[in-house]
Amino acid sequence: MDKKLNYITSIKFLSKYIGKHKRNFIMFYFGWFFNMVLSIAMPILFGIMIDEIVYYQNLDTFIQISVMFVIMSVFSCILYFFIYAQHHYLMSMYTFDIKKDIFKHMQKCDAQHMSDASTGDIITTLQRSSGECMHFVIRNIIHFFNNIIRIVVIAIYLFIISWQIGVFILIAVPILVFINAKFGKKMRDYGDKQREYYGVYISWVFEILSALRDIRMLGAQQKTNKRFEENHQKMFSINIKSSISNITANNIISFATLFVQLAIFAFAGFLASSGNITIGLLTIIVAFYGELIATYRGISNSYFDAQMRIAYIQRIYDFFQSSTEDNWKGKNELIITDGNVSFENVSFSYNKGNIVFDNLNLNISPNERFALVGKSGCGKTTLAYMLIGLYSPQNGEIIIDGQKLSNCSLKSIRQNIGIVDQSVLIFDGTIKENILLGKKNATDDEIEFVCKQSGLSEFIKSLSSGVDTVIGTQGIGLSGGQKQRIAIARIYLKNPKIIIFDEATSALDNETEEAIHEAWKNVLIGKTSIVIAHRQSSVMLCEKAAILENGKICETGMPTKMISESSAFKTLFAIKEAD
Amino acid sequence: MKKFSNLYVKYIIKTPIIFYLFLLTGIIMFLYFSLNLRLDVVKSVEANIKNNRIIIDGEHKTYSDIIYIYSNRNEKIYRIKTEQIQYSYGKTIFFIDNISGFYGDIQADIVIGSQTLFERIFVRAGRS
Repeated sequence: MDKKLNYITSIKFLSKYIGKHKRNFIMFYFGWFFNMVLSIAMPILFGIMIDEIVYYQNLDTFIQISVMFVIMSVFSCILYFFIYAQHHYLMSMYTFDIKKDIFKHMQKCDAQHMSDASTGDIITTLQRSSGECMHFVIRNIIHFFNNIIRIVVIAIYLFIISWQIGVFILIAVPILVFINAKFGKKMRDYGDKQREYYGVYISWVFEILSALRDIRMLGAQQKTNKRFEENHQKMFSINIKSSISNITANNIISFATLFVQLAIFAFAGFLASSGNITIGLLTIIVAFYGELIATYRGISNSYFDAQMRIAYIQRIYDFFQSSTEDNWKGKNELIITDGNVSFENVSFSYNKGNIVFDNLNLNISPNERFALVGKSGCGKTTLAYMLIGLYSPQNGEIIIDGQKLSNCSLKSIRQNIGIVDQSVLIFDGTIKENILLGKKNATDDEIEFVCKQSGLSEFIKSLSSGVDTVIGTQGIGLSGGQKQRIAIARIYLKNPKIIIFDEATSALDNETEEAIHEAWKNVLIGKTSIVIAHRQSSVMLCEKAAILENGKICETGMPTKMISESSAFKTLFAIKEAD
Repeated sequence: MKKFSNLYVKYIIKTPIIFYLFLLTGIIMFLYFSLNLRLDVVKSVEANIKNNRIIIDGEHKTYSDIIYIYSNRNEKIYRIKTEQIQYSYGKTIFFIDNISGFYGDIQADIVIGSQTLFERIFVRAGRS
């Protein structure tokens, strides 16, 4: 069972990141601590100044304390600058460290975990949760600790000044904070509701924006407009409820604060008028009351925020606990000589009850072009991903040239097996940089050769900057065919012994597909290839094909024969029987 | 601009020496002022004015020739310079110049010692 974090375990979990910036945290804490000392001393200093001048006309002392007051105020301002400089630095660096670890973990995270997790959750963990970790350290550890010290010191001072005021304030303030917390929670709940619904609304807007063309095609504008209005009506209703609740809660809080404040000030005024305390001490009491209220409020907010922040820290903690590819046991180097691939009694399921493969057996001969076909969702891509180690079979073995895949290192597996799928990853950068993903140290001649082989040469020649043309969001856009050619160029450079084409041409038009198939022919010479396709044209390029159904291979054969003999094949590709 | 940001990060953020020096300067300044500035410790007592004399019950050792008298502290306090102080029969007598407007029972604040500002702030919470 996953460990549930609490205040202490959260601190423990975050301490390794604190340790990295120990020096800055110590500076930050000292700065805050001294500032806190000043914030307690200054009202007292001010009270003394008042007493010295009002009662005793002691101008010399008054001026001396005033000078000290001004100097310490200026010092406090500069100290604030240093503290906030540290705060910003820590905020950036501390969250950066956590983000770096999250990102690293994300890169090696188990494929199954990543497929189960939603993108939104991962983005929230990376962006928001890491920021909340820092807020937890600063607000819920450092400030919380300082606030406790501040309350204790102020309470002691209030008792020293006047025990009656001390008792009065210490009873009144917690009552006030209770009211504050009670209504504050209500306000916060409404705020959460607002934010939550706003998040849903924004997701919906994103969804709609990305599907604007489809909406027009389907003539669903009216329905979408209606939904838009409904969303806004719902948000409006939540906003109204939230506003009324906020105004009511704010008024109750303000009234209670004012009532307690008036009572305390009246009592302190009575003590001052009866000569029990001086005007200076009255000033100190007023100032300390304000400090006390703010500090109590800070502590109660800190308590509520801590619960929310611990939930964010828990998210990161859980994410770090998720299994990674580091758990992969294979260490041997995969050496491919012929390129024979066989799946032996392979069983796999994403979760219980959802069996993808059940004792699957399949053999792909060396240098063979093998087509894997089947209905959508039958597990073709899963099979390909198992071959590159993204998923491992729960039973059975995948054997390549006599070596168990589970005994081989992931690095060597991915060096020897290449995959080209429908969506080609294009980074913001030059064409050359994008092609170099296949082989970092490829020479210009090699790049020129692979561009020629993959059919990119003509396109590159038409560009003024050639292979140095920037592509991606910052540069020119590429068509689906051009992206596929870049993927082929990468595979050329990488030169793996086994290549998987996963629906690589499914989004292309027939003419482009044909051109891409031509490019494939060059790259596939002397290699074992697995072509996962829905299109008959791609399957017909292969020497052998297998139909995957209900977690098993139901039929294998030569596509040229299957086209006329296999009814499953015909059904799959909707081939009409000859009259 | 880049040079400035590099200097900022180097000397303000990463090098603790400037921060600690500044903090130390602040602490020393605070301690210097608060330990060197001495304030009168005043005691409020009941007194009686008669014939240019302020008479207080009990023998009170004073550290100043100034005495503060008032009938209501929140209205007006008079700062009086005493000519002489005498202790007689368990009473402290302050001899003063002629003072008009005061006669009979009054309140007086007498200086019974001095304390540092540091002590006044951190030990006495501002109380005299």
